[in-house]
Amino acid sequence: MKSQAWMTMGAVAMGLAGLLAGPAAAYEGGAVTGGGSISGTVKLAGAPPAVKPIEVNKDQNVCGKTKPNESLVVGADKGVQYAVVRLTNIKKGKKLDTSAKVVLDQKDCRFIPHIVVVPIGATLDIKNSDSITHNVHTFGFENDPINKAQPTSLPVIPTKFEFPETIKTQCDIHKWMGAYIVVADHPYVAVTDAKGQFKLTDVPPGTYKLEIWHETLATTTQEVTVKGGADTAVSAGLKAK
Amino acid sequence: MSEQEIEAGKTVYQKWCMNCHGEEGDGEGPAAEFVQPRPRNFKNGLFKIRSTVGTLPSDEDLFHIISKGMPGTSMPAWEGTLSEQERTQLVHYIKTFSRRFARATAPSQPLTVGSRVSSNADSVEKGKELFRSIECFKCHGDEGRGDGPSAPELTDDWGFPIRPANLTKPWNFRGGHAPEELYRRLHAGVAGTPMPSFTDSLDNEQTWHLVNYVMSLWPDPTGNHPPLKVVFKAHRVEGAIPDAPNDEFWSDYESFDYSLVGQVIEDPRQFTPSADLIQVQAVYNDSELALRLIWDDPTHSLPDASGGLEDAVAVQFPVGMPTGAKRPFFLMGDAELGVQLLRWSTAGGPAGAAVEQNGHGVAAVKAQPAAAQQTTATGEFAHGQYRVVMKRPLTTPDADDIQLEAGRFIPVAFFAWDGSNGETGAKMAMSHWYYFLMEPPAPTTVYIYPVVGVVVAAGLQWWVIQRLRRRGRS
Repeated sequence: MKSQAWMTMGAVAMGLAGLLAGPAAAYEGGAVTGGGSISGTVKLAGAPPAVKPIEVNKDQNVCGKTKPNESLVVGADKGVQYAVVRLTNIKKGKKLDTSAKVVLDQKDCRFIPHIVVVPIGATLDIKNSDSITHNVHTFGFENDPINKAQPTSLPVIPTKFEFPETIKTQCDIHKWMGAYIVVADHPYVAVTDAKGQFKLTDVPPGTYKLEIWHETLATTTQEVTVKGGADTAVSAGLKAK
Repeated sequence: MSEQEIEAGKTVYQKWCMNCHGEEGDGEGPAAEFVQPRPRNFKNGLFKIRSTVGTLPSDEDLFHIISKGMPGTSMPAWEGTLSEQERTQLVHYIKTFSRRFARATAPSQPLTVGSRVSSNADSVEKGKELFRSIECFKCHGDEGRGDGPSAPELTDDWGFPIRPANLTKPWNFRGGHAPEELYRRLHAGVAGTPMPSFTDSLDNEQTWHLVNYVMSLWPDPTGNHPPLKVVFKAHRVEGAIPDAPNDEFWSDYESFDYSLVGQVIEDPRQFTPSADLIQVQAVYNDSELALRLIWDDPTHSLPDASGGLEDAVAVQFPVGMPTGAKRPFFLMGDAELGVQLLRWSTAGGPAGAAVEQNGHGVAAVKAQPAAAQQTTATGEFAHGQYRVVMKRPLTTPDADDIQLEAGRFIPVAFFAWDGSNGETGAKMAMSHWYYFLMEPPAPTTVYIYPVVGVVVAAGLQWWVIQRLRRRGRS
């Protein structure tokens, strides 16, 4: 039963690697004047399932007794946290900040944040803030998969990514520890907050495809038209897969 | 590599490799479900055994594994079957399954194996300390038998359950057990599995300390499988034999190692058994036989209401002494000739309990009536290993028991069941028939003749000397 679930998750991750990869479209970054914005709320369509915290079965002295199950976090008014919202066909817009320092920490046997967005070429500092060993195992396809041990003697592993891809990441020693690294080739990618809200700013006027992806819910796409100096409100309901 | 060569590789692949690895190289061939570990899926370009810094293997790495096979798996060595040219063609065809090879701009760089730190007590101790501090034990277990707390939940990159290596059994290491290979595994990791790379966290000296520590766990420094001794001998002892499986008593007696394989003769079959080796010792005194059985099992399984299965072991003898070459069928007897099984399992409480059974085939095994039960046993489980001592009177009043007699060659076979691996009944690990011999005590004449010899020789010398002295005087 347990292994079945993991098999499915493994297959899903492999599938995702293929789906989300696509050819790297050349994106042109520069100054954007007179842009608009896209904001909205991602909600769950249907009744929220009962999601139980994960029982910790090892290293309780460091990890605690339970961990939140972040595979589906539904807030007040059915807002879905950890959905990734992105424009999929934007060719030109504001500059991608490749000098950004992005951190994926392992603290109390949990990846923080659960979903991290990393611009191509930027450095992702993978940290271990715990007093025990973790291993960082990524399931990338476009980007070289990595599986590195991170004992306490190695507090930071700086990592760079070359291709846009959503990469499932886990610690095998503590199987409940899961995260996604979203490698972005343009800056119009956002992760929804606890209320399910997001905002993409400085979008050049035009019509775009907006994709909303969530690790356990069905992906949706919609067309969005942005007007200069205005906000376009978007609402989306994600269904179970 | 020309298109023609790749085409030639495809022909070789479809003849020899496809049944396990699948026509599309996805590891889903028709035979895939019967092998453990599963055949490799080539789509992601993830290969376990690499000598490279990045994740893609070198051509030489692929050629090496095709040629030498992978110990402890169903992947055979092809160097005797396929020519060097065919194996090279295969390398290039296999690379076409993953576009990661086509995209790679430069050949994979080999990782550097630094100068060897020779093994000594100090290095082994440092390696042992590292094994704890970087937490190798979390998967490989406190004593390296693959029984760490994280072991039961491990899966490979495709979601299939996978076991950490039992570091005390180097003959099963997938990439071989040469010291340099162990070094490479630590630095490169084992791609597609939970085994991570330690290249960022271990320097050259530390890596060698760990290699030296792992090698210190081996039963034999060569790393080879313990040699097979066909005759399992029981030594005669005087006085009581201790019951405790860890008693120092046993360190004085020879150990015999027998390979176990999955039972695949009759349904339900076990293609992927947990145990592959059992170590046995035997002694007897004037009234009873004692056997100590040691085998590795990653989990201590107890039967429970939710369908959990017990772990068990059994020693098999024929019911009567065989006449001529005729023995019962080794798989728990046959309709004509029955066997007796001395079985211990975790069903009987923390130390387990023994039961005597008779078998006329794997589907016809019955416990003897309570009045005919004479075998007692005590078991212990620690660090991924069972140790069980079984005792039985040499002779019994039961017609269904083997009557044990010194100096006779008695057929013997062994079975083991790992409950957490779904093993019960016919699903088990088993051995072939071997021979059991209780060495007869040396007869008293063995001690008297040398004494007589010494006395006679001394007497003769004295006589000769006396005669010579007398002659000298006259």
